[in-house]
Amino acid sequence: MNIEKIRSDFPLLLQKHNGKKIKYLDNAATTQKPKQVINAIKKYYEKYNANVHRGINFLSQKATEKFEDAHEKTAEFINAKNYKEIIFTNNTTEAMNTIAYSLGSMLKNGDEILLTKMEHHANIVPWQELAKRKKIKIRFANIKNGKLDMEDLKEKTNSKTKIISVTMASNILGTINPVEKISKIAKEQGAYFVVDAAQAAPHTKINVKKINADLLAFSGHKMLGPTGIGVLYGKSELLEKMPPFLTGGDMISTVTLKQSRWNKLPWKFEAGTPNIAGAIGFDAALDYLKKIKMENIEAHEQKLMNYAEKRIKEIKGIETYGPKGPKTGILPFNIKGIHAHDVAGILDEDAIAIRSGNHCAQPLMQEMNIESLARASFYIYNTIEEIDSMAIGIEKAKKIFGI
Amino acid sequence: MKNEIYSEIILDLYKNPPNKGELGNPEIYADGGNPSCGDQVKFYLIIKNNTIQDIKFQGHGCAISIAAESLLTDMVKGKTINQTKKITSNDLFKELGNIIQTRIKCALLGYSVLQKAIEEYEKAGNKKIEIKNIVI
Repeated sequence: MNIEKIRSDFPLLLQKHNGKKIKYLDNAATTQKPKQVINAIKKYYEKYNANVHRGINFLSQKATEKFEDAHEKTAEFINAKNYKEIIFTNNTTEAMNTIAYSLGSMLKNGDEILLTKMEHHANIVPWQELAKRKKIKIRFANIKNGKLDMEDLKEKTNSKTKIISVTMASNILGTINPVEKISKIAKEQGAYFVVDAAQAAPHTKINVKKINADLLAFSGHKMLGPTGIGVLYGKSELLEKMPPFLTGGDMISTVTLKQSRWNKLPWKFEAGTPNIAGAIGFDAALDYLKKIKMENIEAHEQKLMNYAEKRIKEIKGIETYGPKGPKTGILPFNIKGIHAHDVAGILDEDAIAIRSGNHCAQPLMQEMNIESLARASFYIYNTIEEIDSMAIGIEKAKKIFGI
Repeated sequence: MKNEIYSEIILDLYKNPPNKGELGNPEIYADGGNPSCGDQVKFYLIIKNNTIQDIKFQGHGCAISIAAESLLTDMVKGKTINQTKKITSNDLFKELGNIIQTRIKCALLGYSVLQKAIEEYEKAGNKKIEIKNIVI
């Protein structure tokens, strides 16, 4: 992997801020976009902008073709059967809401849903809303040493468990969960298995068949794509059974004043004019990732993580979190005596972008008994030098605060 | 080490914040925060004859938010409810020094919670009140 060449594809990274090179280490929030993605969107708007699935004009035909191709390419990328199993949403959160609403409507009073204590709010709140509409119980598997407590997860699974929904990788700890094992546990009980892959899909090869996931969701913008495009994968047999979430335009085959019939998959779940430009931009992002190869991305992040963990632990007063062993490129830390926002604020002065706060996973923060956390997260264009800059910035923060 | 954002005033207030603590049986108790950043603050006010006789706060947050909360409690101590209401965010910044745009919401967290608490206190007819979970 030629990092310098990769970096030259990202216009934002070539800019300077206050005369300083931009060091973008907030990739778990969103990634930067290569010019290939930006150009694909530009080309769509300049050359063939039209609505899809409507009209026979040449523009609409071209737009429809590209839009459907993006579904097909996504299916290939995660080893789904075909494009019918790929629904485009706004983001992972919308996909999770679709699942909780639609799959949730198939549950009966007394059924149980099993989540974990390391979930992003997107895999908690929609289920809590479902529990307001139906008498279902939500349970949470425990965490032990930064990892999912598999014994506890097994114990909390029983014949009432109808859905197990877990994150494939934690957005705070970087923990990679054993989704294939969890899938087997779910299947043994006849429960549906749902995967929030928002923090996994950008970093590792997703194989929905191998995972044996019934439904799986991720976001385009965390993997070089534009914002506003997310993916909801579902096994076609299940998607056929599930009722639509949003209804109205484009998701119907026939409408009379009395009733309507749903469109074929996946369009049944894509109501209204979709994010066509987003889908085309995402298609270009998938091309870019395929060219680099996911295994190379994983190896590069691992190299950065190994260095970053070692480098940051040299700093006195630093606390790091998360499990030992394989993780995605996420480095959570705190410095004794300095609030995470202040660490982020001081790094920001040197054009180093990290995240601080509660990271949309308040239950996990409560579980770990910490208020706030600084998080650096890496991607394909990050370098060892940027990690050094961050370490120097942390030392500077300590000096400012007299620690 | 000198720094533009973290002035000596802010760092001093953060390290040794005046009025940090709790008060028993307060006339006004109010807590709130900014859920997206996670910063939180609690205020305890003793009010007699419409005047803030004593005030303490407990803050969890960044240096700028803690410093601003501490400074604010000093500014309102001894003031009447009406005088407190008239304190503007600019008055706070005059004392605290300039805050860069990206951190203004940190500096105003305590200010917003306290002003909301005073407003609710007046609405309740200046009677003892407990207000929880003010979202800023």
